[in-house]
Amino acid sequence: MTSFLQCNPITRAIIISLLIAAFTGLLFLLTIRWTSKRRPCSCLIPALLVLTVGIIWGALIDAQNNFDLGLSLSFIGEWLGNLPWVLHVLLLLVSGIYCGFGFQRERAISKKQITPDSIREAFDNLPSGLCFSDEKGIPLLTNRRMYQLSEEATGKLCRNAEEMWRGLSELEGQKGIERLNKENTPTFRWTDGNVWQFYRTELTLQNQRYIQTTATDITRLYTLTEELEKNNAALDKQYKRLKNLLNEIVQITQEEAILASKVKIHKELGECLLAARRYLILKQPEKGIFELFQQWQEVIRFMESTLKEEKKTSDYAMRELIAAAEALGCTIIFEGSTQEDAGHYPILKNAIREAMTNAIRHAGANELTVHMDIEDNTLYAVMKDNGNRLITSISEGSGLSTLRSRIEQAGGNMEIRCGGGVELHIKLPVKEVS
Amino acid sequence: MTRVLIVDDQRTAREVMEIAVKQSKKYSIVKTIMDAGNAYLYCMNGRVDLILMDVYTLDGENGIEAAAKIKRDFPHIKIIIVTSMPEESFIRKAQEAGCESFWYKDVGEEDLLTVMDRTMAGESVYPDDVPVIKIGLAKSTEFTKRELDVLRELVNGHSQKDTADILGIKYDSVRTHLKSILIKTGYDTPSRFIAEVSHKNYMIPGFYKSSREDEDTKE
Repeated sequence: MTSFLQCNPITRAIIISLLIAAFTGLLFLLTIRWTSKRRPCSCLIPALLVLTVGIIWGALIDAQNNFDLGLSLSFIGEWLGNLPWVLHVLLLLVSGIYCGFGFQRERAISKKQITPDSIREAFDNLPSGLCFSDEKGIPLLTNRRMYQLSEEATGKLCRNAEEMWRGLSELEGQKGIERLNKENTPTFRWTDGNVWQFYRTELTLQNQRYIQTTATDITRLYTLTEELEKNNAALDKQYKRLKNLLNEIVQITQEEAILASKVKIHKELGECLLAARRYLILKQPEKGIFELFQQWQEVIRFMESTLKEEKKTSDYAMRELIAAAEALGCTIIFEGSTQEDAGHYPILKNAIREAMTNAIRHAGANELTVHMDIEDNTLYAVMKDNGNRLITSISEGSGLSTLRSRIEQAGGNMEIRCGGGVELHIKLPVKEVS
Repeated sequence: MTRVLIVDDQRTAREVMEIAVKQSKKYSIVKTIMDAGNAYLYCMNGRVDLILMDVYTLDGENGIEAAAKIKRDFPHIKIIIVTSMPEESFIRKAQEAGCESFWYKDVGEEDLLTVMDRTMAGESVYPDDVPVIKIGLAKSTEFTKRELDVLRELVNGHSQKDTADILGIKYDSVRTHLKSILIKTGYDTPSRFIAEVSHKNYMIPGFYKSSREDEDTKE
């Protein structure tokens, strides 16, 4: 097989230059490994390879030079030069591949490893602002975002974390930066519309206290909260409307019924009038006079009954109560400066009924006096019976206690006085008529 | 002759009952009144044997509550609760009050007179169930008891938060129940649905509290 020295000069030159390249590469790898001081063992192989490649390279140059100039060859040079050239190429390949893998590995390791620089880089790339400082506020580590935010907010570069925090807490807003809350987590709407919240926490590391200042972008959270509040307000409004509606629904239904009967009266009366007119003027009776008469009678009866219903329910209920009392042989007498119910007629009605029931059952009364006065927007009502049995104390049954709770709910109070007869004193605030 | 007291604030309903009672020779009308609270006064007279009692009477006076009071003091007077409202709690409440019978004005399968006869003969006549009504896409029987409780408080005008407090459950549970109700009925907002419930008289605002509150007050 052709030895190195038998090859043509160009091939020899190529092999030698490649050896130089491999030597340089291996040298670099060795240096990197040496400086990173990680594993002393991993420096061994490149060192050996550097040595081998270096020796072979030197020897081959020597052989080449001597061969060209016709001088006697050195022993090592002659021996190596006469080795087949394939061996040299093989060595080249081995060191080349080792170099490639070696560099690849170094790169991979350097990417994984945490170094101060990598921390710094990661820190600066954080979307939030972060600042670590010691107790006195001297910043130990501050990221780019924090610098930027504090500078934009306070207008000066943050040299001391304590100072920066004070500046932020006292900042009311400036140059398009708007303060959103008054609490001790200052929140601002920034010029670009984002919402930033600042807060501080204390860290203890190896018995040393550090302060962490954080700025978080809470734009989304804030807009969602705002939306929620808006929705809640709308919901509240809806509930209020619904509540009002529910309170009035019975009345509304009644009014609807009244309206319906009014419409009916209108229609039937119209028909009657028309029929009567036809009968009287045109003398073209569609119906007999008897039928017409009957129709009129029906309309009038219907009208009467509807008009009766239309009267205030309070009058009706009171009248019914008085009638019921009379059926029991008891008269209700109204006295005092007013007959107005001050918007509390259901309560008053219940009170009168309760007083009357007790007066008849326990005191044997046949007369109940209801005295009502309005003074300073307060309704005073006193119910007194003419019972002849002496009653010294009263235990409140369900009727009276229900009445009491109803009165108290309406903002009034109730008092029972026993003495000559039983007196029920009721005080109620006058209700505004809406 | 059985003496009958009629309590109803609706004119047509009153007339229907008056006609029915007058038709029969066994009954006579003592009085027709509109306010359930006054029924007690007529009972004090001792001239009443049977009461036809509406539930929701004049000024929102509760007929069942009045009936309970009468039953307590005059147990011999028989009471038939008469209503046209498919309120889900009425039958239960009437039974609790000790009323003998219960009759639905519109959908009663039996004739009023038959119910009166049977009641006077010592029977207790109750409908099998509250009439099923449709609320949105759902039937009234589809709701669970808890959902009905939540619903009742909402109909009474409480907010969801207050409802949670009143029922002693979590706010989230109230929301879950409400959501389930909305899914069943197919309404998109609670307001529409609550309006429908009260419009159909399935629950009457402020008339009764939820069952939970009843239990509390009993204790």
